[in-house]
Amino acid sequence: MKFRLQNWLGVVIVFALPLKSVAGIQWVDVGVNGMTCSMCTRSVEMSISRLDFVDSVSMSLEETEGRVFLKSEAVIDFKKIAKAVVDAGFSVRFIRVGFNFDDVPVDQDGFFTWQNKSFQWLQFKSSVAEGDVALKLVDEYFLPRKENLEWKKKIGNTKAQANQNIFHVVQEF
Amino acid sequence: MNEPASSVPKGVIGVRAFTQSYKEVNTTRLLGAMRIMYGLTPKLSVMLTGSFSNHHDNKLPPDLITHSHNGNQTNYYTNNIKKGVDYPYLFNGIHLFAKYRALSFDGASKHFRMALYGEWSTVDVAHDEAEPNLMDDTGGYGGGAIATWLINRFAASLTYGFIKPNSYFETQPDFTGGPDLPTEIYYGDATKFNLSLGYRLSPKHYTDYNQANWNIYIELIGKKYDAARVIQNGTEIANQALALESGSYLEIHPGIQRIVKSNFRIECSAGFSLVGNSYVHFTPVWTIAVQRYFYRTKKSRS
Repeated sequence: MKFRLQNWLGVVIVFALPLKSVAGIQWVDVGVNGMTCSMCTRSVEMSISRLDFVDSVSMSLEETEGRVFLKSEAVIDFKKIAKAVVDAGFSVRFIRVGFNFDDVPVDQDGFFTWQNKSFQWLQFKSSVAEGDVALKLVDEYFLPRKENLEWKKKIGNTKAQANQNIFHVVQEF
Repeated sequence: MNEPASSVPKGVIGVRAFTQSYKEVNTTRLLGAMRIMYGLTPKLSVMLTGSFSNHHDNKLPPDLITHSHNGNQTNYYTNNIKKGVDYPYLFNGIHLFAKYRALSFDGASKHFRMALYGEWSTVDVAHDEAEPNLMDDTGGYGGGAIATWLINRFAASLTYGFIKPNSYFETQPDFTGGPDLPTEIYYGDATKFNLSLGYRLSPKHYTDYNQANWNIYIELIGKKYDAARVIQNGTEIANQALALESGSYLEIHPGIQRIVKSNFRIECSAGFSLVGNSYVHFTPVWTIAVQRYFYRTKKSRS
């Protein structure tokens, strides 16, 4: 079989083109506390899978955490993810989102909006607000109680203290 | 057989079928049961169990109460209960169990939880021993607490509870040839405990749901119960039957559990007497159980 450059050129060009991610949440990782067996993990996976905005869930049994894949254009509800974990009989250790900030402006205090939801990026540094960033939600329901209380004290010193409809996030990596 | 403090996931239906059997003299006694479990809320689970067994006859032994003569005086007393008598298979009744997880301390791959439980039984069979068992021998109610500690591959669970059994009523033949006499047995109140220790032998590390899980466990089961009272025609009958006296025992039930595809549980255990003896069952007691959850897969509405 002869190697014909023109046959492969198209393939090479397609893979060489930079792929532009759609702005917003790319994935959601959920850490679950209290699980010690694969039956527990399956219960959590089945519970999260039932959410209407969830396309699929892939759990890491050993790490007791999972990645939630979302339906395109779907409106995500973080509290429902947390409730699904609790309904399965366990507790949320963390909820972390992969957020693409292309076309999503963040103001100097770390405020931004997406899907009509308001977020405040705590300990925000403007230099990192581009491309993909992993953010952890630190409000009630999304962390163990003790860790949430520590964040509550810190959030209490911010401008967003009075606004309960803001999701507070911190950069994970 | 020990229920952990953890609950059935909300909205999930579980089904458990199990048998318990033991050799009693020359006959084999067998209990078969089917349990439906449901997670009403994340913390509240209910379980409905129907059971059948060949543990009892349709009526109490006709010679349950015997008599002797001392001059002109007739003394009535309970006769010893014969063992190894063949009985038919009968439906025992319905047993309802509700468990509320009151405390949860969850961490990564570990938890400590406590639950309160209540149980209630419609069983109304001709049980002729003092020891109450709500699922298969006596009606009544009970309650208690469960504490469960899990860390990585090790699990420990302690249950402590009480049983307040109902009495059983029937009419017994009158020795003197008169009409049958109303006879009622009041079974002994009981306290019970179950300490269960388990360890996951395999897999050492999880990679996927299809790995077969092998767990070993040991259950220490203890019970203490009061004496039964037999009332015939309004008169308490003197008890001379060992099976109707108070008692206590401690048993050890080592077992093995296999979990298939992270859902289908198969358990097998053998129970041996350590201290004292139950008059209700002989040892070894063989228990075989299977269990699986049925998850809802339909998407929830937003």
